[in-house]
Amino acid sequence: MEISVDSHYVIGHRHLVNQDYALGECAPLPWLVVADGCSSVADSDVGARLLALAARHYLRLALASATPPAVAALARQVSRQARRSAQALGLAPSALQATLLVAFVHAEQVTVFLLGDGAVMAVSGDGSLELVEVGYSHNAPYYPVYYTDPAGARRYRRCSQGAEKWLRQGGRTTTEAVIAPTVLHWPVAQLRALWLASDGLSSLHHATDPQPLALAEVATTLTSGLVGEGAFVKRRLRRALKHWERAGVVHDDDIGIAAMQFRGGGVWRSLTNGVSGSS
Amino acid sequence: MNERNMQWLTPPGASSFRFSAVRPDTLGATEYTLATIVVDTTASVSPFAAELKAAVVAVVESLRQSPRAEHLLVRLVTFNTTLREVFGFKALADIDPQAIAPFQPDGMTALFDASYEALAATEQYARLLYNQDFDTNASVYLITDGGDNHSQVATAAKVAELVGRLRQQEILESLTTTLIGINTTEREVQRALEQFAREGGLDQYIDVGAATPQHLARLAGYISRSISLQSQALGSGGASQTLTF
Repeated sequence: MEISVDSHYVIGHRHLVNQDYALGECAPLPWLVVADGCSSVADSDVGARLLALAARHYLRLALASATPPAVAALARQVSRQARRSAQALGLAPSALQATLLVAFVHAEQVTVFLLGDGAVMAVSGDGSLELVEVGYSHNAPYYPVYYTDPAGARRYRRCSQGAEKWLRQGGRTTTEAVIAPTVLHWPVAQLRALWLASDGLSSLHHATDPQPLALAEVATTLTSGLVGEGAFVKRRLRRALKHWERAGVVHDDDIGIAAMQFRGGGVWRSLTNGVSGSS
Repeated sequence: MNERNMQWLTPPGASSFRFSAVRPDTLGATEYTLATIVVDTTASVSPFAAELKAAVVAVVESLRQSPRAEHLLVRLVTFNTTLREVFGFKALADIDPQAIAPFQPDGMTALFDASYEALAATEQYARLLYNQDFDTNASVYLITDGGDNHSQVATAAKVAELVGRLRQQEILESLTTTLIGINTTEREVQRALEQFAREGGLDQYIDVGAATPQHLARLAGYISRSISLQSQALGSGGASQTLTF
């Protein structure tokens, strides 16, 4: 089986700084990370990157060991590491208010952790798309940084009373506790590709109409057909953005995307990652 | 990247030629300029074949210094009675200009066939890249010291038809085509080349003049600058501004 990984992130039309970040690697086992900094918090662009890089560090170690990553352990260790880095840079702890979406391959399955809002696009072998979208009724995700910030976590709980976290999957919407991470699994054998996207993907709309495009339509444009190898996410996202621009569609929010593709069966062979992303 | 990353392609409907190009799955960037240099190696080129090859080598070496070097795929073809691909569409890092063998001038001038082949290969490869979401534009340079006298397949009209098709399709963001006359001392030859540029739908005809080392060095500088400008124009939706020689 051949596996390729790529990522990309683009700034939203209403943003001055891109607060999304995305990265991924094929080795030791394929993994993806997408981070999305809170737009109203200073330095959350740096915070999002620190979280993503801390997640990379954690995943590299965890995936090289026999023990698969666990969501709470990941959230705690990544948060702790990012907090140390932020402190060393003189950043306020609030800079780390960013969502973190993680996917990795382990034991013949792809596991996804959603620590905040975003979308997962799982493309099966026959090309059909399964879209999973997670959001919060009060638009305030439970960020991974709260795992190591008891006071912040308490404040969040106080402010989130009555709020819901919703999950749309296969035409059904369910709710979960706002502080619960979302964990999803797919057998690798069933997948052609798995894409992670920040909530910016839901911000596409016609310039003359604030109503966002249906995420299913956006996801289909991104994932359908032959996507190729190498920098496949960058190429597809750029092509899609051009297509939308011609149609008068803009995206207010930053978009961060990472994806892994699987081809063929048998023994895994990692292909090279795409080149690094751009802001 | 190395030779194992190259693949052979045959344009649709072309049974008589094929070309090589780097496999798209090994490309790291998202956008590329496809540059093709087609060089006349007919018998009349003999007196300045070494200088002509040196000019081609200088183009490649100069392009390696371009800030757009990582976004260029270059192909070199020589022609006389027949065509010969020296190397297919390749990243500059994978081209060793010093390994280009000396030109072996001989035979007659199948200029229309060579032009058509260069454009058809560009079309085929651009389509392959387009289908995998790459953005591309292209530049084709046809260097000759004489008018066509041996083409078996193509005509100026067929070249024009292909150029027109390439400009209409979405697969290439833009295309520039330059016919370059060198050592064309006879006015008759210059007229024939001007006519081919016009009837073949090419962007421009440039007469370099006598094949002196100075003129050939200037030609090398012109082609490398022109390719770099075309690459810088990628993403703008149009072609680069035409350089004056």
